[in-house]
Amino acid sequence: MNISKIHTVILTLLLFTSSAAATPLVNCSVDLDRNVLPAGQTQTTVIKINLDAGNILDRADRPPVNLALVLDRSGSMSGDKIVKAKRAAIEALRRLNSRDRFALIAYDHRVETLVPSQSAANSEWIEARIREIEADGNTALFGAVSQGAAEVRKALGEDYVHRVILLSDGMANVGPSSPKDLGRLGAAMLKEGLSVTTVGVGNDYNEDLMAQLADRSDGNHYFVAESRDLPRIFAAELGDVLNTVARRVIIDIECPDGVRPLRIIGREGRIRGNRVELRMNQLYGGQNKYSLVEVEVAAGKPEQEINLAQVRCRYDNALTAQPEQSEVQVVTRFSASTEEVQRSAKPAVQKSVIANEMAEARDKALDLYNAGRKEEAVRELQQRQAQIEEKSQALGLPALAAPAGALADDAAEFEADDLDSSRKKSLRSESYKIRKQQKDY
Amino acid sequence: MTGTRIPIIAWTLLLIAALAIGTLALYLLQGEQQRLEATGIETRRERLAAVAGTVDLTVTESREALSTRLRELPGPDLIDTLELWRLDNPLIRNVFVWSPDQGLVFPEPTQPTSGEESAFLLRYAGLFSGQARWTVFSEEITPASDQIQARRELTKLAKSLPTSASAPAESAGATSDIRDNGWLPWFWEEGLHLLLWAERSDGRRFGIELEMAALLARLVTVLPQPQSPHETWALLNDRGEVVHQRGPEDLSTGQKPTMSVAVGNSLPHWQIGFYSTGEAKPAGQSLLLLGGLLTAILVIAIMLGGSLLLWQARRSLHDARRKTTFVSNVSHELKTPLTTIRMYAEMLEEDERRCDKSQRYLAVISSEAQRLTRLVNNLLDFSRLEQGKKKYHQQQVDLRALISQCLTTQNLRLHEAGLALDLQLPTTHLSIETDSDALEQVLLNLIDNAVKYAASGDELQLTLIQDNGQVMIQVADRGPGIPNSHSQRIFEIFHRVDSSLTTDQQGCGLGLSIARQLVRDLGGELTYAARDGGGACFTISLPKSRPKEGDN
Repeated sequence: MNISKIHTVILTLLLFTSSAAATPLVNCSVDLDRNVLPAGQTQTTVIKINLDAGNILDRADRPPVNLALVLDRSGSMSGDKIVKAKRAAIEALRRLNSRDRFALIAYDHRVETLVPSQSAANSEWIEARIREIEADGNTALFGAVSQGAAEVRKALGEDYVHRVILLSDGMANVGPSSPKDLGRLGAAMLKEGLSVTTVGVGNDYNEDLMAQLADRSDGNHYFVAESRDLPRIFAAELGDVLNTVARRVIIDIECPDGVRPLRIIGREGRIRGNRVELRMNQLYGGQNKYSLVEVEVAAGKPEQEINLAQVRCRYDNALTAQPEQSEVQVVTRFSASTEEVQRSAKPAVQKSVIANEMAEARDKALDLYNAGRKEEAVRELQQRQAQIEEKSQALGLPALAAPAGALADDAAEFEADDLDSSRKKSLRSESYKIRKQQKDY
Repeated sequence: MTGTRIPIIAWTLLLIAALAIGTLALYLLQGEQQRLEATGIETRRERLAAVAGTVDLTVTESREALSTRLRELPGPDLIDTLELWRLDNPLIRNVFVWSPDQGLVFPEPTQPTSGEESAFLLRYAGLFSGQARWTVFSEEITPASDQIQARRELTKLAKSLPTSASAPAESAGATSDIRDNGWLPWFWEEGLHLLLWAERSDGRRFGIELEMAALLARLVTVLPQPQSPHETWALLNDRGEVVHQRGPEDLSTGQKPTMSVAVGNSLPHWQIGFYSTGEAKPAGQSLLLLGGLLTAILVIAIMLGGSLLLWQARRSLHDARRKTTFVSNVSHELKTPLTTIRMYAEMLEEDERRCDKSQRYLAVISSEAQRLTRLVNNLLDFSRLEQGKKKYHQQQVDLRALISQCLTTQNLRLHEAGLALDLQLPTTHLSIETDSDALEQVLLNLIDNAVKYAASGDELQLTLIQDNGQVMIQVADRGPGIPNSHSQRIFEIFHRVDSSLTTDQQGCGLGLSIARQLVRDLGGELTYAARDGGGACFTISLPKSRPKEGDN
């Protein structure tokens, strides 16, 4: 049976932009883990939706930023941490220009707005206020983030990139303090277009809480073991924030009959019937963000072409403050040939899937571990590893499953007596980076 | 002894008065402090109530705004509209549609699409399955204060639309379909949840669950900063945990608020707590402290002043004693040579061989020596009386004999002064128990005075009367008498009637004072009365029989 290599790129790109002539700011494309599906059986496949945002070429064009810095000044911050945090704050301030807004909230058990939201032009006065901060007291994290949000909200209607940066080194112990509560606060803030970036310093902060807050509000999350890294981290964060090209990104995936969305791998999203909705608060220039959606496809006849999904990506162009959108159709075909199916497998997509699966597994295992269910955590890791290997085998790419071996190591580590607090934090922040495609720092 | 007693009594009285003033002042201050504290507490409570009112109003307003919007939701595509609303509005956590016959329509109870939805289904399972009532809270449970109520009414009024004219037709159509609506506070594991719902005419209920995290995030910024740097306010949830605080106090140790006010029925069982820092002294306490200090200073000042006066008094008394002692010593020293002089003068007088001239000189020497002796005796008596050292020798004395003897020695003087003596003695023998020397001294002083001041009267009447258990000796003259204004003061020590009558007479103002003291010591009294027809009359009254214990 001589089957010539058939080009199976069946992706039709339908671009629809409000500014007709210009190339879209965000390029939306889709990939499948296999371009050809085996015929005659119900199966699952993964759709990868890529969002590629171009760099801002002219830095002067960048959208203005509305930043609120929320600094922990509780007793545990005293010493080098607070010194470095202050330096980092000043570093961040210096990267802003007069079009940007800056607010500073310092908190212990009290919450104090040291710099109410204002133009960053007044930097000398702001710097003086930052230098005055001294560390003492407890940690009213909820109130502080709320206050930060309130400061940012003062310019909410305008075309700013809104961002709250929270720095903490300890457990929240005043006000609502569970990861769930803070996560919900993050989710509520996301609806207003506010993202919270969380920076955890040292080994004593609550990584679950900090990760949840960042996750649900679509900010970044950083784990900083050494306080001397703080200025660098702030610089990285500001690099992202100042490079925001799109805001309020909504990805709508609509599947026809016969295709059923099963789950979203890595990200938070909502599946309702045959529709999937994913939201991101912003896209940074020069960055690739993707989402992985697993769908179940009903059995098809060989050589039958089917439409898997209609993907629509809507966003606000941060440079022009105009809404734009791009649409893509996901089309595939069935084949009776196992060989052809195996050949059409896409290692790149599968790699992303494995990385995200691992991240998910680690997050879940950490949750279980923290809840005191150690055995279940270990089982979770082991099962997920087995699943990944099985899946890769089925795709004909067994070599790809090699990284999943790390899960077995993790399982062994979880099984041992005590999981180091610093290890937990690095696991959490690593998973976060993978799931959110956050840049390395 | 009496000399020091009076200042001590005065000092004691002063002390008592000062202490009484101090105690009273403290008592009043305490009352004032309590009043101030009560006012402080009342003010604090009012301020807390105002904060609670703000929080209550904020929650109520957001709830009512959402409720209004909920009622205006269009009938068709209800689920989609609700979903879009949820995705858009930070205050909405979950949405639902429920019908009395089908149960929960949305979200699908069997297929929750997210962890959040399954948690929602679990949380409200009791409600959606019909086990719990939809409306538990009526507005009357904890009536809001009039003030809050009035504000709420005003807000409503401001938001109200003209009922007929500008109400959009479609929204009017939509709202008319709503039969009932309400809200429901729901306590589940981790705290309070609020559910808003509306019911259509077909019995279907739909609504939203409020996102408490978002609501709280707004509330914490509503909470005002307390005015005083020593006060802390905190929003406490239904389990009494601090949601947010304003003020310096570290509440992580879990202390109880000194005062708390319920937020109101918009957040049932939530409170605004008040904490005051230890360093902060209530206004009343500092008043008490200051007032107490001032009172103490006052009392101490009074006591110091009193003590100073007492000390002064004692010192001057001491000085006076020393002077008296000195006088007594000097008098004593004078008496010895004086006696010798007198004795020899008298002896020389008896010698008849002198010529008249020297005889006359000797008479002068003798009489002056006698005068000096009387003076020295008076001085001695004075100092003895002052020091309380005067001794009396009580014995039976025949008064007639005593008077006669006394007059015999003075006869010459009386004669020289031109005074006719009118002596009226009783016929019977009259004797009492007394000190003859003292009595003689008294008589001598009185006669001396008469000689000195009443010589012009030419007459001195001396009467001894026995009357009703008393014996009275009257010495009366026809001199100028004593002016009324001086009639009592003549017995005071060193007092002299300062008139032309006396200025040319020598004297030291001791005679009458000593006489009266002596008579009193003997248990009698010396009194003065103006004599009928001019002149002075001094009366010595002595008891006939002295009481046994008698003073010395």
